[in-house]
Amino acid sequence: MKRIFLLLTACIILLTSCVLGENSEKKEIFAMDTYMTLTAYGDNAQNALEQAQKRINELDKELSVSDKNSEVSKLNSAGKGTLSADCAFLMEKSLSISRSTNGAFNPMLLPLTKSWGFTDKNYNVPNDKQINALLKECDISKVRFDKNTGEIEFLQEGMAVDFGGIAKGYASDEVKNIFRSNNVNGIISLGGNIWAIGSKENGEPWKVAVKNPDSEEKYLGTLSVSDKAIVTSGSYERYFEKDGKVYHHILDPKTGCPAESHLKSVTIISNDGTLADGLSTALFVMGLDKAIEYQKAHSQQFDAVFYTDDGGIFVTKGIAEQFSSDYKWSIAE
Amino acid sequence: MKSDTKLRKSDIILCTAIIVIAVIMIIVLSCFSGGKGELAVITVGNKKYGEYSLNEDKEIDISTGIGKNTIQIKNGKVTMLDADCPDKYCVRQPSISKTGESIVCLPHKVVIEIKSSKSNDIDAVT
Repeated sequence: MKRIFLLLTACIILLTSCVLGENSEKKEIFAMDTYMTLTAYGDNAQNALEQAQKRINELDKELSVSDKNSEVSKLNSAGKGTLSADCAFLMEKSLSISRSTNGAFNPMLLPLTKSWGFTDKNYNVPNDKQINALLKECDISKVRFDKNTGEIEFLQEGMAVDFGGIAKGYASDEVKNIFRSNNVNGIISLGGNIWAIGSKENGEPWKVAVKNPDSEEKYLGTLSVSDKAIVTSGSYERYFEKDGKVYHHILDPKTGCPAESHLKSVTIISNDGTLADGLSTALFVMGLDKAIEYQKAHSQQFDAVFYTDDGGIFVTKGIAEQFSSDYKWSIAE
Repeated sequence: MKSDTKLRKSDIILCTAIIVIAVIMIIVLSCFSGGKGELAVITVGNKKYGEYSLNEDKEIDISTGIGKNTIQIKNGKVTMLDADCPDKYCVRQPSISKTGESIVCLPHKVVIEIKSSKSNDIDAVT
């Protein structure tokens, strides 16, 4: 009798786990001003997830621009200081992406994003005079930084750094490293910053869909990937309307205004989540032609999917075989 | 010989257990996979033609080199409204709405399949 009861229980447990299909651990985290989901497979999954959460909270504390006690806020109010390892890495990476993209990426735009109201949702359209004055406070050439000592100084009054353009990408890289050191596969999304670590339990690649700002029914397309970071920047993510005009949150560092690049979104696929995060913004600012040119020159580092405001979908060669879509799309050339 | 066919107490318990498991299995499976689907996925000749939400009434005209099909989504159900195929089997098929159900127009290679919401086979969205 007892044995049969045990058998029955075992069967039910087995059945339930069969139906649910996976022995994955999942964690949902609200941090870095976004919603994050972390899914992990493997013996150490729970362990990896806990370490990941700890690390994410740590980074949030260091990098937040809204928390007055964060390292970044303290640096911004002092105008100089010595950076921690995380901040020094992010500063060096920001400067390198900025140089490489000819200024299309700029981590020093905080005075401008504040003025437009994207930091606190008090939206406002600054006039030309204000913008020109603010652009001086966003001049990245006025940053003195020594990557060996971590010492930094802003040479212009009012300057402020915001790692928001790469922070989530960096956090995703850090979580990926934690997963790997725990021998855990999984997929994480830090507010759309994806890291597909390893492959699915059944050995298949992960399926990552690209949002479609113009349809609630269909994704722009799907990427089948293993061991890749994927990040999208789109004008639809944050915007406001004033006097019938739409202003989105991706500012062109050259004009100080929302980039008018005829792109709706840029998706970057790379082994480097931090780079992918920064480039998704930079290539959005560049516009399709320059972005394709840039990608061709750096095709070893990343691939991309571009969505233009007239509905075109362009996919770079290196990822074309892993991309599928219900829409017409073409190779970016 | 006779004693072999006699039911013992433990046999009855085992039978009951198997029946209980079977019933649970049916309930669980119907909960998880027989639920109402949310998307009609249309493929034409093995190529995906489109995905349509069942929550939105609409008519879809498919015109290929082989022929024409008109598909209707209404009140969460999908029907092959019209087709100029020779046998019209597809038009005569009842409406579908549950995950896994399908309507096939063989001559035109048009397949409508109900799939559960897209989040089920997508692992992440960017």
